[in-house]
Amino acid sequence: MRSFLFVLALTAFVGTAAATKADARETGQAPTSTNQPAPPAPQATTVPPRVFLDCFECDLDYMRQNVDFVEYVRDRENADLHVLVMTLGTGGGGLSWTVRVLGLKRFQGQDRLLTFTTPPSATDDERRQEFARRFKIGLAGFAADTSSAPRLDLTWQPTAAAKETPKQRDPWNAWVFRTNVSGSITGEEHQSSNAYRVSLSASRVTSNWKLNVSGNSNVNRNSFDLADGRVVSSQTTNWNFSWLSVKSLGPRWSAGARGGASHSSFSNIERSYAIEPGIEFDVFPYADFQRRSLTIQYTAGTLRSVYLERTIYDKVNEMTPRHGVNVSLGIREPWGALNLYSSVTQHLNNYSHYRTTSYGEADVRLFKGFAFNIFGEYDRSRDQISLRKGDVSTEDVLLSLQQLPSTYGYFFSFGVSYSFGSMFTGVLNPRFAGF
Amino acid sequence: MTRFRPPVTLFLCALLCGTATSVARAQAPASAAHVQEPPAGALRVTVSCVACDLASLKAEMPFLTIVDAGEQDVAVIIARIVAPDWTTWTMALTGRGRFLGRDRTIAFSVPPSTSAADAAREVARRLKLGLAEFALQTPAGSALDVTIAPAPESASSTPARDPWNAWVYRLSVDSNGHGEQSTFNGYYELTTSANRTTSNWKMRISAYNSLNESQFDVADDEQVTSRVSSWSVDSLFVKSLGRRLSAGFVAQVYHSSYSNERRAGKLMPGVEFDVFPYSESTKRSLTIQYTAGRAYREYEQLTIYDKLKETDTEHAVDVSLGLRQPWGQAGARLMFTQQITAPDRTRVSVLGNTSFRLTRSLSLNGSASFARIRDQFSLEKGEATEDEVLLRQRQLATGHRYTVSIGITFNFGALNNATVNPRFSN
Repeated sequence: MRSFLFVLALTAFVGTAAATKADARETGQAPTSTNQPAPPAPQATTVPPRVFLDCFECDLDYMRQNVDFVEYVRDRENADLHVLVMTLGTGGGGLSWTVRVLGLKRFQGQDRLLTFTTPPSATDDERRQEFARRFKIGLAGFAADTSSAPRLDLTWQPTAAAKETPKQRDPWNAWVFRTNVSGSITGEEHQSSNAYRVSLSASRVTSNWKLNVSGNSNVNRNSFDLADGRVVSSQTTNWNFSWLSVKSLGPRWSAGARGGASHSSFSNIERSYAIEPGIEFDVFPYADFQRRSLTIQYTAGTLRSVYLERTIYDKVNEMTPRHGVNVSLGIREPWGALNLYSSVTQHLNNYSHYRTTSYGEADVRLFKGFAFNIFGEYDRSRDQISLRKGDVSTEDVLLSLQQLPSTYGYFFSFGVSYSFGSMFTGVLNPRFAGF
Repeated sequence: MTRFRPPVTLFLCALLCGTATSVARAQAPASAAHVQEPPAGALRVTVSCVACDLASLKAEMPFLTIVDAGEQDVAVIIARIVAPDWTTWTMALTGRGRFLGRDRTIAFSVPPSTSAADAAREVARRLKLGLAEFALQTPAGSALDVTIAPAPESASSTPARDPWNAWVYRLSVDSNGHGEQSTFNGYYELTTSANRTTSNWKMRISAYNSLNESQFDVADDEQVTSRVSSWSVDSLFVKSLGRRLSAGFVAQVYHSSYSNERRAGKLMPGVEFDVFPYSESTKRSLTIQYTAGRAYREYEQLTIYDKLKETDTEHAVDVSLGLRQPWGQAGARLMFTQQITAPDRTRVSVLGNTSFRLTRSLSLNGSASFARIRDQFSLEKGEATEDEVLLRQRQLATGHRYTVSIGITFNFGALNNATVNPRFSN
């Protein structure tokens, strides 16, 4: 083992030294002469724009390989342009892109905004191509008097379809329908699992109305052969049908109702039905949703449940009137993103049955090279009225087949990263990518 | 960086011109027969320039309309300054109306030997780049694109003025935990790395350590605890040998409680060939890789072969296909590994995945894999307990492993509806 560690260290040192020396020769970073002749006439040879591409949806490898007239940097602090990209789903199932080009340093004050949509039928390649095209056109002006400019040209190749751009009448009246069927199986000699899912939805989204009807059904099965010859098999099933109807009441107010029916073997619910009208207010206009939102929502309604097995309250079915309020804050700015959420729901036929849920998440670039993300959620639950009566088997616990009694639940995650060194993301080098 | 500072001796050939006297009018260029007509709603621009050939400028930019002052979306003023050693052009773009506040100045120089025709083409090309962002928001925008010529061969593989010589160092810690009254799961991971990636070399030295722990209260006095830990120190060095060939090696020391490996190490040099040039890797790649080397393993528990440690020589072939095209994407991989010192210890794995669009409404995705396993030499001797099996805490003996998944999506209706409505989204 020591010899392996020695070899690892030695090869790392030798390889690094050799490669660095070789690259220094190639990149002209060998010791520079102080007697170099003065540059000739000014050729406007400013360096290409340095870009910090801040985007979850983008294929940075594709951009580095195909859009190389800018220099991509790892930190906003090193950038001349911070390209902040946000996406939201459209009523048709596609993506609405908002690209904020924020000028920094030599481009201070030169902010730009690009917006466009990609259809639901677009493949990953088509989406990245369209983003790259908009990105290139949006940033061409910034590069027009840099050392990249001689490599660039703007072309216009109108096709018949693009020239016409007719305003088509929508025979579907904005309704969109989706269906999906999926399944998976996996196995070895002594264990196997399979899962199936079907989902359907119909939605109509306009700026005045939002209507959505959807349903899905899931089955999950596992099987394990134990050493003593026993076979442990498990199955969980659930289905859900829900609808939502929302009317816009100005730039900050909405009224709506949601409801549906569901089944869950995990939660001991054979079937349940719910209807909940409500109202929502956004402190910021909904139009700013991608940058900031602070909504307050109140709903009240009723839930009828039929249980698979008798509950800890000796019920096989019951009606539960309830109401709830939730507050949600979302912010996405150049420094990062922040989301906070808190809700309270209470049963109106028994005020001691309630649930509070709070969570918060932040993804923050604090200073150059340093970023952290944190997520925390805490639920206080006094409303587990559907719990099965009786003991829970070891298999049910280990395989999470049944809901367990608990007055609380939590989830937290924390991540911190610090990076330093070259400000550039580096060229794309896909060799030996499997390691 | 060279910065332009005009000396006082400059001969001023042209000054900024008053728009009232020299605003370019829409004129028919000499080569009108070849000029495309701008579409309705095209960008409206005024160009003020005494040193320009406005007809050819217009011919170069058929996606916009040159109009009278007062009707424009963008006002352009072009000036030329002639010095003995160079000629400098300055273009001031000023947004009007819906583009108010979007201003830009572009300056560039050309040597005096540049012909008038070449200078005119250069002015038009730079002006197009400046007007591109405005034209994008007009009906002509959907047919615009920026073409990028290949970088000159002399261009360096890393940007100049990088004091770190392309080295990047990272340190990150991630952790999470969740639970209820009777269950808990916690995970943490520490990762550190040093990377240097240029087009000629790829170097990575990294290390990580992780721990995953779960606890379950299964009865009043009984608790089931599961711990899976792993760590690794590895390095990768790859040298580019042309557009399709690479040579490199991986050296690794690692631990995995799941695989019963207390400590293990590998040193595997190898070569790789890409049937397509590596420069097309984000669109298509078909690599064939061969590695061979020594491996050392020290086990936590006695293995099914009654070993606590062993050293062997092994080799591997890895063929990998990746396609990402307008119709969708597909990937396939064939891997074969074998111990040279014990040739019957082999593993063959085949896997594939695809996601593609059959029609505008119908898309399909699927993946499948199969492995024939004859190399579980690190398996712990003895039978796994029920807890270890159900919690997947320990590797189990098997001669094969498979996965299949498939999904079909059918969408129809108003698929072009671009409305975004975030109300009641919680």
